[in-house]
Amino acid sequence: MRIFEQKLFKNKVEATGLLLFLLLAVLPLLLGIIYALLYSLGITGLVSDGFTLKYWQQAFTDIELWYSMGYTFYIALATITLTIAGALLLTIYLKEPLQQGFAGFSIYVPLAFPAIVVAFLIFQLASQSGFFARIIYQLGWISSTAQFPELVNDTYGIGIIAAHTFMALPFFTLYFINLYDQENINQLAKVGQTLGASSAQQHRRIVVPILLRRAFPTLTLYTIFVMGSYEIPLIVGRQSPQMISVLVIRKLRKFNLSDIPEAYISALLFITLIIIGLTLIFKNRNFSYDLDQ
Amino acid sequence: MKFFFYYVLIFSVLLFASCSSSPDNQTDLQNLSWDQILQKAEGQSLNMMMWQGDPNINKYMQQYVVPQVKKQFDIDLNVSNGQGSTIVSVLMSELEAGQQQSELDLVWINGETFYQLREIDALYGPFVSQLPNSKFIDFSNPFIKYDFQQSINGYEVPWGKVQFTIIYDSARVSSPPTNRQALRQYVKTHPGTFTIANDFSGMTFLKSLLIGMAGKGTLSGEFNEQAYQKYSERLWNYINDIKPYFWKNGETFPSNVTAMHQLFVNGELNFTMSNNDTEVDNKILEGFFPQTARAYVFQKGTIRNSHYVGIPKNSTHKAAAMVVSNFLISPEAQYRKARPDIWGDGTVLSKLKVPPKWQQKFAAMPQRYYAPPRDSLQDHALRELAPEYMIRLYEDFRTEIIQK
Amino acid sequence: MTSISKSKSMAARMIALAFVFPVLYLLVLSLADSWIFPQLLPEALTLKRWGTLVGGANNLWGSLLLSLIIAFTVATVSTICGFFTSKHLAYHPNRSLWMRLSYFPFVLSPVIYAAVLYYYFIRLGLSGSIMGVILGQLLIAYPYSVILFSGFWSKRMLHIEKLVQTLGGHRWQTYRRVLLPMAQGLLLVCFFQTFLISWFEYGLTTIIGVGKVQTLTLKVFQYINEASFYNAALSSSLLVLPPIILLYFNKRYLFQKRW
Repeated sequence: MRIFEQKLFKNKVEATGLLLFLLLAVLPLLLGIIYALLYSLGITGLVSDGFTLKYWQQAFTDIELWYSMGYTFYIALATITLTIAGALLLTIYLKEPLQQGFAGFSIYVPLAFPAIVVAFLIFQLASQSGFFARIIYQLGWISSTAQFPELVNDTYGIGIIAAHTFMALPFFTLYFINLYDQENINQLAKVGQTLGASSAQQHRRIVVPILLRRAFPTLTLYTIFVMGSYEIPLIVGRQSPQMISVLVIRKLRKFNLSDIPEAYISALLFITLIIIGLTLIFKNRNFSYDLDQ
Repeated sequence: MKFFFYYVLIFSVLLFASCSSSPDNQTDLQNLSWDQILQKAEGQSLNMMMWQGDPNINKYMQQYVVPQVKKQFDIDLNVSNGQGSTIVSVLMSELEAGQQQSELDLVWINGETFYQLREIDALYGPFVSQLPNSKFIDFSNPFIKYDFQQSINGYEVPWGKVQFTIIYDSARVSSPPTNRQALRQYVKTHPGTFTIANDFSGMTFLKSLLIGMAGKGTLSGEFNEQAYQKYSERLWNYINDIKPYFWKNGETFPSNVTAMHQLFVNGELNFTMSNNDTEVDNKILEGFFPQTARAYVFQKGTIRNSHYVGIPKNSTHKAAAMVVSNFLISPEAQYRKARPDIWGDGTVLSKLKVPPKWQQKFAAMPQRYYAPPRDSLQDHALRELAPEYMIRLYEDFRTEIIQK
Repeated sequence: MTSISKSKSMAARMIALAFVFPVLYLLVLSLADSWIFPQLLPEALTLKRWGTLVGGANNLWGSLLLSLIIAFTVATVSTICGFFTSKHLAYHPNRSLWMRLSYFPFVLSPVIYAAVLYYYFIRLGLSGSIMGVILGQLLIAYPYSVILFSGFWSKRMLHIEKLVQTLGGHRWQTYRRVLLPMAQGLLLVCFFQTFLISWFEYGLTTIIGVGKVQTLTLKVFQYINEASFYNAALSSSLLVLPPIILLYFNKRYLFQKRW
């Protein structure tokens, strides 16, 4: 232990710092993966009868799981695409007015909403008897609730995507506006202008690429974040397909006890996805300690 | 810097120290007298996990049971949310981790949950006969004595007795369908107004249909795979045939009966369902359902069953859990619970066994108006099937109906 | 030109309204006496629900306090520990590895994290307890704090620190006189950010807390579950209003570009 300590750490204080990190951030993750792996292989668990690969086989042939994975991807990508498009538009065209006065305040408001409240709100506003349906009804455009389009618990996850976008759009608008000022994008665009670029060209060739490149890590992180969301699909999602977190918890809490190993397999698949996602991010050189730059 | 080191140290010590709660000396409660149990229970706090999907039930617990057990026995009752499968999952994880001190002390269960908990040996018992108020319980009634064909053997205390009903709005539906053929007809001519909740109420409805298809008595007794295959195939064919005419074209289903009630109230659905035959009255009295809502049952009958409370084997507050269970089956608590304006849950007590004062009170109970009288439902009451049928219905409803 | 800027500020105002409308809607819903389809506005407003907040049987007040205590503890611990560890991680030769590792718990879905860790929490006797929930939330908030502070430690900072020590400053003095004052703003931001992580958390809290540790988010879910939408709106308002008030005083607490 002493030798180990001397090699890795300069002194006790540093050792404490690193140990704390290992204890709180690294160890739990490893333990979690190990437990899920053991359970999925039938090595632990109340209903296990020793090592078996049958749960993995069962999981890989379970269409529901793959369907759920695909759905999770779809929701995350749709959210992030809408968010990027919206945030870019707002940054490019409404940057100034969104930095002043009431608008400048209001854009921060969605950041004060937890996911569970956003889900509740979307349900209240957009269901077939919700606030929007009432407006349309009062306008006389529909005569019954069934005529209002399905926006929550719907096939395409519109409710889920709307809820996530409500949270992500202001965040990324602020983020882009910040980057815009920070990176002197304005000046670069002006340089472009003097070189004869039209306004559209400036946006397409200069502003958007710089913003997206700089924001890439955060965008990727947010995508993973959306994929792992739970409360929103739980409240405004439908029974099938379900996003991965909802699926894992449902499979964990089922009367059919042999589904529990599959829940852990689903969890492991998600963790693998994150590892892939993070590897992707870390390839980006902007993303490291200041000391390395 | 040393200060900080100590801060972290002290904090982590505190963190772990505060969690090792004092171990309860687990004397065998079976040898104790009721007075000794009462004494042991005093000052304890216990955690009850139950389905909290209905505001009236929650109100009954929060505004009546919780303050009463505090006042009468000095017990702090904490109620948390979780239906059957969650209870099984929590207790199973604790057993897997070798935890001797369960987080749950009292659980609201029946049927498949009772079955699973007995399978993994997670329930404490037998203890029911030790409860003084158990002498009032109508154990001669097979709907109480057997929980999904399983003998309760003193491992769970009967708490309430109900029958499944279908609720409709008489302002919108003049003559509700009372058999499968009529339902098919109705659903096809009134698309979008009917659905099934993907929870215990929906599964109970399907079970009633299944029994109707198989004929009374065919499926009773132990779980029979072949019989299940045979009749469930018919059931899924039947449902899949009318599913396109369900709410939202049968592409999705309400996740629970609470959501279904909401759709009924908003006028999206013409029907909702309830495992509790008095629910229609209690929801009308509350002003939630329209005055025109009515409850009825199919000609071939609907499931009647009881629900129970059980004590986890590793509960560290068994004495308190027993005292609370005993309170839950006291004439007072049962009477209150049975009132249509409170919860409307049928009592498990025998009206002949309770003290005369309570006999009168039960006899003078405010009547329900919007559901058929309980006695008239008697002839249409179906016994529960073995719990495996319910588990399979849950599974197959997902694979055969929702995902198709 | 002016017409363009006018229409722009008009558009900005519309967007602002879309962002603020949900808050108003929540408040009105929490005050509504009866508000069912197809009414556009509630029939009448009532203060009785807000009145039950204090001493009411719904015990919302208790949940509010519980949420506050948990969030406060999580924020304090993760800010202090994050600041402390991130320094040692930043100056460590393996810093890029540590940096990568710190992102994992943070982007991992909290419910999935809780699901695979639940076993250990039971083993430690921490499931169903406030301490367990605090520790569980720390597992998310602390790595976040490490990430947040990672940008603070730079070569420049190292030089300053060395300089102070060359001038005879003790290590503790370095912290108190130099590092902490310089990090003051970031410390505050980190505190509020981690506070909000805890304040907003639902999935992990319900699993690790076995539903027993009833924070405000659990109350919101319970009310949604029993279709008591007015009460759900009330408890949602309690969740949303404190951060909005905070926002009014300083926007920085809520938004941090390097998350």
